[in-house]
Amino acid sequence: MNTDTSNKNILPNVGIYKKGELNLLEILGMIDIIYSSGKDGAVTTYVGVARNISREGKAVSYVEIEAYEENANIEISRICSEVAEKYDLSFVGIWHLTGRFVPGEPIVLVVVSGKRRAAVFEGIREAIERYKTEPAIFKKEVYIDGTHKWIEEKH
Amino acid sequence: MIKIEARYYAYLREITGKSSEIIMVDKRPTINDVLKLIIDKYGEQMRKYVFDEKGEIRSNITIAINARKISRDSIKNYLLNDSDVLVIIPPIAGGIIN
Repeated sequence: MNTDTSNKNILPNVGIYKKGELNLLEILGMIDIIYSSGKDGAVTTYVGVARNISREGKAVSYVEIEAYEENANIEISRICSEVAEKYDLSFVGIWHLTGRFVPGEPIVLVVVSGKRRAAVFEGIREAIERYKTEPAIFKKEVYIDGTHKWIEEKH
Repeated sequence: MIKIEARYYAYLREITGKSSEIIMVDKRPTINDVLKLIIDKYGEQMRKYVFDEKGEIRSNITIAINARKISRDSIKNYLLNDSDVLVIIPPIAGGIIN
């Protein structure tokens, strides 16, 4: 794994942030820091966005994301370092917000950088699958009809 | 007395009506001892959410002590210390990659 992190230290630490503490789109605007050395040939990003329709087809008014932050930060850090090592990537970053989000608002950003696109694509896929299943992060959908549901996915 | 902090998230916070509470016990409890106290306090709704019909912790429930997840094999005899934080982690919102 490439251990050059001299510029990457400018980025916020990976992990959980309250909405308003961190601007995910600003981090997106900074990712040239990650690849500007020229060591990496591929960078890919993923933005998780609050949707206006639930999986069951119900109209969503907003979603609430909460987290057991101490655990979620540990798990997110571990996911980033393990995925980076597994696919020989120079950078894996996950920044996940908590709070209330209306449809169309970004909730999570994942950025992966490496020498080759094959590893980068595999790495980001695994990073996404893992942040959705391992850190203690919880989502409540509140529907237009006033009802709500804590989303509990089977994995 | 041993003090254990139990924290509740998501649906568990709705069942208990609180985000955390202090549980006091006479001697070092196991995780199961504390879970039993919580079930006794909050009743059938809590029991069914955490335990299955066989009395085992449901497969989609995880127990964390001081932010670290505890393996299912270790839970039964895991002894807690004063000021430990116990969290029954509800099923985590995930997503299926299509």
